[in-house]
Amino acid sequence: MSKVFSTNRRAVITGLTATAALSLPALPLPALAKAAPKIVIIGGGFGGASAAMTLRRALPRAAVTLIEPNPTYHACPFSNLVISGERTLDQQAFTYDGLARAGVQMVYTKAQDIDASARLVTVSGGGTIAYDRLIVAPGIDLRYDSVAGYDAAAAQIMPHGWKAGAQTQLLADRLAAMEDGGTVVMSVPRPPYRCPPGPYERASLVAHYLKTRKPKSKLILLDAQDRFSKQPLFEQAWAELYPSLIERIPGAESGRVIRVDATAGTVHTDFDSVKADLANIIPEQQAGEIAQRGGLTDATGWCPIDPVTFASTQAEDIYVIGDATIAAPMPKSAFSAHLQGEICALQILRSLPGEAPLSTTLSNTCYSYIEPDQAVSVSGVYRPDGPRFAPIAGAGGTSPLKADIGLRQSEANQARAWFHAITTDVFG
Amino acid sequence: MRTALTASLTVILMGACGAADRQPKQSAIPGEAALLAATCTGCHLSGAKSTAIPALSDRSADDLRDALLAYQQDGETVMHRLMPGYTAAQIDALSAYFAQETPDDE
Repeated sequence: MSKVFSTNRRAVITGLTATAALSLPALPLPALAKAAPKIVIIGGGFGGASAAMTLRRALPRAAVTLIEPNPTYHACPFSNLVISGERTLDQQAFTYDGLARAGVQMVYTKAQDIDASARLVTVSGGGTIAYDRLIVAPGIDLRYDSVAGYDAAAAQIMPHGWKAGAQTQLLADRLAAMEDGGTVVMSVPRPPYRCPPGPYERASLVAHYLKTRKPKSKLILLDAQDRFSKQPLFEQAWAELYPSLIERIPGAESGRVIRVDATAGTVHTDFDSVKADLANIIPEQQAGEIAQRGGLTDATGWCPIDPVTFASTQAEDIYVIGDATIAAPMPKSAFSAHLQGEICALQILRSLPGEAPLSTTLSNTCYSYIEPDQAVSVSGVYRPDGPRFAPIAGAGGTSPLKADIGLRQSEANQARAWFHAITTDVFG
Repeated sequence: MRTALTASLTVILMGACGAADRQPKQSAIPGEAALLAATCTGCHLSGAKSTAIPALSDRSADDLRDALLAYQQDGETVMHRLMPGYTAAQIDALSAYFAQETPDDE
């Protein structure tokens, strides 16, 4: 048995072109504990990369394969600072060299399908990769159909900027090219979506850009939500820093965008339409496509999981982590994805020799910039409670509403330290 | 290094080709402390020099316990919001865990 698994890396490679991987038998638990367990991860974002590194650090004989189509990862956290011209997109870029150095087998291709009964992942071109355990970390897919007239082509004119990379740069370029006196229109979708405070951080930083570079311009926030994350802190900051620059129309006042005309540059709600010089349309979202193809999503379009282990409730030996999961009140954040990747990896390591899962306490903290040198934060502490997470009473909350500039600057420094720490932890 | 990390496991680790840079933080079967500590590593980089978020790997268990318990009192920081969610026993486990961690040289 150990001989079979001593060639497992080669099996990964041959699996891409042939079906050698098919001949690998699924191992019973005691054998898995001794042999090199074969753990495959789909998706190299904060969740998938964190799971891969955790597995390699804790169990160096584990054969860990990460399937990811893009050799360069662009981080979403801090990407709003790229849009407002405070950072470059290059500063958001990370390679998987650190993971490869740690012994993670990188496979740069797209996972197309999952066969849970045969424990096989099919990749672009038809090759297969076998697994003992599969972690699916596909992030989000944008639901273009949630806004009539919006699609991939329209997103070239009205960028979403909700997956970091070319879209982030496009939005930055369009903002830089806009004439002073222009109207920026941003739409916020109905929840759940990736990064709950993200649209409001973006509004803050775009407002800062307009205030300092194009002061005759304005920002209209068409918001499907009535209440939002860190609302009192954002509204206080907008009133103090950007008075009369941001106009927010909440869902109850028909703020939800239902249609756009990219060519005409108009954005439509139920009762109104707005002419935009630059429109940033953030559509509704669902779990990444592979989660749907693999049968891991439910009717909501997201993935139900066991909150103790992150095991899919819909498939054996498959785990789902990160934005694709149903983990509320844990937010869809990089922090949560990173933590879920670690916890999932550790629970898998417990399961290999047959140890029972161990319920634990999880936390999240999200920083948001209200201007380039000031930030606010929200934290939560959670524990598994039946099929979902429950917040722990008496813990969590936001930065104080009454605070001097020193505290806001200190949280901006912590945000930078956090970004450095989390990206170093997973990408090296 | 955790005391629970046995000599035999150490041999395996040292012999492993291409193993991760960072020293393993837990024994072969991760326990309660390793699971709890996973949250901390999202912000506290092992071996971090002077940043706004300090490393946890170069402090004694007593120091860490005192600091974490102090965060259960009123205060304005992120840590003051997080630590009320943890029990004294969890704080003990975390303090012992990080005190035994080998600092990074990254």
